[in-house]
Amino acid sequence: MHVYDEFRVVVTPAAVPGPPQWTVRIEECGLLPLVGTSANVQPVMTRAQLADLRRGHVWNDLPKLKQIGSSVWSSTLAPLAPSLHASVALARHAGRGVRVVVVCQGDEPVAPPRDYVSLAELPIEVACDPAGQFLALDELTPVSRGLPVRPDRSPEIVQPPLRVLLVVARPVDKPGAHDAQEAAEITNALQGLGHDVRLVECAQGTYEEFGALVDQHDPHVIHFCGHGGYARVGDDPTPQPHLCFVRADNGKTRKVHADTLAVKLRHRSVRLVVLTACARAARGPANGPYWPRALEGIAQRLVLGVSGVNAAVAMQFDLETDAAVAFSRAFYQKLLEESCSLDEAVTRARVAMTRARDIGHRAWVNPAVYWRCKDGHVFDIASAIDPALVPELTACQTHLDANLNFLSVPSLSASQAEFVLARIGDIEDRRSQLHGQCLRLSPQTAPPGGSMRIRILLRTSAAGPVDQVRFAVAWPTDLGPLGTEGAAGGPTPALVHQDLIHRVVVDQASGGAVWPPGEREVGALTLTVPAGQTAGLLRPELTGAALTRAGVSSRLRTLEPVLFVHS
Amino acid sequence: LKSGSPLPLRLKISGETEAIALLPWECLRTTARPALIVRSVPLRYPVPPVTVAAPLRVLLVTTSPKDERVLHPWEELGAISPEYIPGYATMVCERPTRRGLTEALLAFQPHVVHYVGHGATSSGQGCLVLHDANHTCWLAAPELAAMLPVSVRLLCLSTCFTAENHDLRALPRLAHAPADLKLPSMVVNQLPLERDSAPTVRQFWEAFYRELSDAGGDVSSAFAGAHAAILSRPDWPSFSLVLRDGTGWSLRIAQGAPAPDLAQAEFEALYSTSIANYVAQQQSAQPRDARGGLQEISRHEAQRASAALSAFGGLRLGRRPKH
Repeated sequence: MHVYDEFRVVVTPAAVPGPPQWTVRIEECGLLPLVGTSANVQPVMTRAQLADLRRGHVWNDLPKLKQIGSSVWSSTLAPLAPSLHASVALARHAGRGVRVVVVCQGDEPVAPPRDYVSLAELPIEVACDPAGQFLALDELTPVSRGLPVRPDRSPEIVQPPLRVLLVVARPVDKPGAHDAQEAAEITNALQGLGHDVRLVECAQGTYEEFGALVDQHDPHVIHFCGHGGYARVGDDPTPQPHLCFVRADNGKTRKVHADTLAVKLRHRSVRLVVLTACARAARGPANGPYWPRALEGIAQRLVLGVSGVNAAVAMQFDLETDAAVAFSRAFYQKLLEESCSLDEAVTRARVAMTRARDIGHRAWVNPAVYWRCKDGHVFDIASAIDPALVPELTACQTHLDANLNFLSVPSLSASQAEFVLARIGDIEDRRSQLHGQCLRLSPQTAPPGGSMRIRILLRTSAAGPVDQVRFAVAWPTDLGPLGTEGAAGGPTPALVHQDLIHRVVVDQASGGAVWPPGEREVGALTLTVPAGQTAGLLRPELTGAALTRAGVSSRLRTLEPVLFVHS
Repeated sequence: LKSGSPLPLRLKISGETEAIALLPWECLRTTARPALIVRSVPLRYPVPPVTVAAPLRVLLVTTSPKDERVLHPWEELGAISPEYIPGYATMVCERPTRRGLTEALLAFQPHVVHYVGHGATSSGQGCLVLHDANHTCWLAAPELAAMLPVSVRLLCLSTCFTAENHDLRALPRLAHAPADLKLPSMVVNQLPLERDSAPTVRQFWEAFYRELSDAGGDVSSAFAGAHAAILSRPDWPSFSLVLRDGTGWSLRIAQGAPAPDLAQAEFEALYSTSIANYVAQQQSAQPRDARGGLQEISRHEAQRASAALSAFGGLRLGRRPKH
């Protein structure tokens, strides 16, 4: 599939009298007029159903699972169903999918009735529509969880092998301390991926060993297999989630909190963390928090914190060994495909888990996906790039970062800003050449009240006509209306505004002509900087870029634009 | 140290071991007298100075949020104000919010920012304590770095002495922030001062600002002069200089505005040095096969910086004669 529209729904507790209600609102949608559609819905998923899911390892019952899924659907997506179905139909017609992203935000103003689940506990992955289809099992509609931040991070360029650090932590005071089979199976699954994955194992599971291996091997992915839990930190009475590493002196639990882990992973290459509660995960004390959920808390904190981690997959429940193996094998295999997004890889892994267990077994519901990387791409697997060019690409990125760091100071004059942006233009031109095929906007500067003509530059790696180029620009702040201009002799790009997001479509970009490989202007965006705009760097985001040639859509790599308002 | 050299001893403190940075290294003694210690956050390439026309502009920032121990801003400012010293133009930014401080910085384009107030620590980062609508607003090193215009070449962080500091260690923490943050050299209080320290504070800053003007912008020399002026007082170890430009000479004071071509050359040199240092700092965090390319970029930018200044005598440092 590879190219997706986003259907982002924000669910918040509604502050209304009477029985608890949630407000569901479409925040992002391929059909722009539907953005902003909202409704109140009464949550109907019961605690008994959640308890059933949590002990789902002992049953395999498709009607029962569908019933639970139907409750989740009714509690969230039901009032938005027409919008979702229309979005899917539109996307399918254009050869794209629709990624469903659900953002659960805010705490209930009052505790929900004892019989019903709270918003934070809702297993959205099991949502089942009235036709009896589980959305999360369909590659056309992958389901993931959003965070309060919009996707803002670029994929990490990785030249295979993908470095994976597998941490197997089995403290002696937790169940399954001597169960080595699961770790061995996951190791086998990852080793089966051959030279594309370099696996390093942290077999003792101590934090000291973990730290040393992170320093030594600088992994891209950390796959933690073990226990989570909740405990108080300092004087804070709210229990905080932690991972259970192994103490080096006595083999018991060493609690490592998310913030500690985030600091450890700062300035490293780790961009993805996978947290799996083992098959015999400790469930926590009666009436206390359900301990496997700690992994979700850790995942959210890592992605939102200082660590540089862009995405996390956390299991909501304990996970059976065969399902864990099926998940790992399918997930990493798919992740290694160029252009494959994280939610797409997880959907493929869910399907693999249904084969390992059964569709009526809750194993496939287990993975919860959190991400803040653009278009769901954690890694830019650079297999299409000449491996010899990857070091130069990395150096160019650091050179660009250095320039952006310099531009972070306000109050540059026009000539100073033009000097720096000319240098950035040179770096971007080289990055574009190294990527072979990509879309970028030319760096521009203007004073408050001045205007910019921002060129849309498409680089193609093969000769041929270009049917369509499409992308969205998300502004960091309201800069007023945006316009478009055609390139010399070319069509004027179509533009649709939605809040701070501007969708641009250039139809018949080459007018049927065969374009040779290389970079061309396909149009321009025009912007008048508001007179009251503060001087400084502007970093709009380019998302959803796609190129259509000969009726086939493919994802386009984008370079982040650099605009500067000088004093 | 045994030789008792009058030259300052430059102590480079790198890495993330905060405990080392927070040690009062200034207390090191020779047999005869305390050594003059100057701290330095290591940089691969020294940052060239920028020529500025006298008078130097000093933005005095004082805060006293009501949910901290309230201090007496004007008593504090009275002890440090350089306004009576020839060669300075001052502006007071009292009780600023984040926005207020940004506006004052952009409007006044100061060369020196002198903060007086509380410190605070958040997630291990040193913060200044500003105001917001009702309470406090903590400003961490990265936010401060993004706020300072290029004109700011020196930060002075004075602890309040009319009230106990909320977290004094935040000030040296901020001064030792990672080198990739574009913060200038800082003179900072690292040990608490009390009300009876007011004469020491006054004497230190009076000597510092006078010497800074006389020495044509040489911060190390100004600090040495101020250090000597208060050595007989018990509070002298509180004052610390943290160089973040490799030279301690970030300003070159001229009597008139610099020629446009010199200003452009200095800007280009400043830009290239900044890029060279940033890329050099990032080398260790990058894959081994990318390091050669980064080293080449870093070296090339450093050469560009030298070339930009070559027509103006290169990176010249030297004491300006007193007048």
